[in-house]
Amino acid sequence: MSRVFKLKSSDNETFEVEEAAALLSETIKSSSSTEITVPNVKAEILGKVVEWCNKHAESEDTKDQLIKEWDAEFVSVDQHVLFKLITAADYLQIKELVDQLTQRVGDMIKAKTLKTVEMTYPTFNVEREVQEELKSLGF
Amino acid sequence: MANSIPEVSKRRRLSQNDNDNHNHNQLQQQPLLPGLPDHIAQACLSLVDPTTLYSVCRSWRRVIYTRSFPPFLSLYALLSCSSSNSIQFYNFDPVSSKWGALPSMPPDPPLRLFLRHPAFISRNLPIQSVSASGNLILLAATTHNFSPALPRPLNFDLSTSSWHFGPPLATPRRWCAAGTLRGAVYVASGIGSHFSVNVARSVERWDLSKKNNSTSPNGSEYLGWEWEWERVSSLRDGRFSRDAIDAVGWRGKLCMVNVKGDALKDGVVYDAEKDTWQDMPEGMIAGWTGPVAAMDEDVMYVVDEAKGALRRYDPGRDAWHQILESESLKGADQIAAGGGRVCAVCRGRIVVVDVAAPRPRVWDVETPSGLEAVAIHILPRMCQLV
Repeated sequence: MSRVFKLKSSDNETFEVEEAAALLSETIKSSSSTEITVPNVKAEILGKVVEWCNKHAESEDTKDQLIKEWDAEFVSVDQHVLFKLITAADYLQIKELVDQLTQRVGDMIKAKTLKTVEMTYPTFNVEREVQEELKSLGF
Repeated sequence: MANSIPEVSKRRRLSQNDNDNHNHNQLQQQPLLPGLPDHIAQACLSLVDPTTLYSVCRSWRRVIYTRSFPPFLSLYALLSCSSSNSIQFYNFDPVSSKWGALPSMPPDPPLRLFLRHPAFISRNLPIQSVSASGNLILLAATTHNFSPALPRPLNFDLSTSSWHFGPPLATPRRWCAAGTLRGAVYVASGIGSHFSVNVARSVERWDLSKKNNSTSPNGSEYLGWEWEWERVSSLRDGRFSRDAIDAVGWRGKLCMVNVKGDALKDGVVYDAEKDTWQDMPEGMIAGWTGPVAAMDEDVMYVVDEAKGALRRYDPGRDAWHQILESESLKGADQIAAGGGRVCAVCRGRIVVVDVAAPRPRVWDVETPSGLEAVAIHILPRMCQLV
């Protein structure tokens, strides 16, 4: 009988996760308790991370084409969600998820910088001060 | 030795320092990618090629020179002032397309080497350098009274941006066959102050990986005593002391010929594992009509100095396969291969060939004004310490 882990989001929602899925996280693996609070990660994001873990725990062969397609869809979210996902995956130390999300961010940077030859602002949301500084440098 | 920093890089350094000091605190607080912790942003940026990152913004530009960013390959050149004997190492950064002088060599003991001697009007005296394990090494040169200028190699460690002395050679040579194989520098044959059959047959190896990595906290000079030259099997005879030769490390073997350029020559191959010398395959010698280098010690290239033809060696057929021919490659004296590029020193100019592209292309890299190229090497870029 495998253990069940309880992951609590920062807005107090609890997710129950089977052992196989939960142990994809190094943070959970090295935790002494089966109840883990994940700070700074809201339910919306934690739920998605749990979904990824469940999917990857159930499929034996991660090189399977179907799961690759599923993964590709999984990371095709808007930048805002993507950044929150990667921060959560990093905290939970889920290496493969972090790698996939990092790759996605890298691809987005490459795509956006290729489109514009002269960039007035960097592609991702930037604070006003940074924008001013960059403008003064001629970017 | 002239140590003036060329105008371009001096200006660049001054303005960068000013801005960096002023903005240092601001930059520290600004995230690389707002919304992500910097260590994750770094991982994302590491997937993008440095040339792209360079043009986006200052903080991304800084990232490509930090230790956590995969180091891109850069060009290192030994340049000389056209009218004098002074030489200095420079770095050409392919991402910023800028030249910068490396820190000057230690002034003590003073290096008095001669590139141009009144007795040799048309020919430069050789200055031999190699690169190995992230180090640029000055190995052999001649003084004004025709004795070896370097009793100990001078090496520049790219990871610490500092000069150190290598272990002293049993017999300092002023020209020899010099090359690198699997992180070890080899010096073969050549002559000291005068010819000797023993020296002409001797071969020594310096394994850079055998160093104990314990520098003092302020990173001062290594004593170098953990490094040493060891003798390996000697050559059969002294035929290899006629010219300053670049020996080429290739697939576990060190290959060299005894005469530069197009002339009739002998060739030998040293098997590092077996510690034996063998004759060079006929096809290999036949096509060795100019400087040779091996990319990743795996693919061998030659530039035929007379025709300006770049060729690649096919070991299966023991023959050279032509890639392209170009006027600008004529007179090639030394070449380096790395990162999909073959770079050649041709009559003081630097010519680059992109051999990885589906249609190989050739272009010149202009040296700083008043300076011409003596030798080039391809190595990882240095970190810029901010």
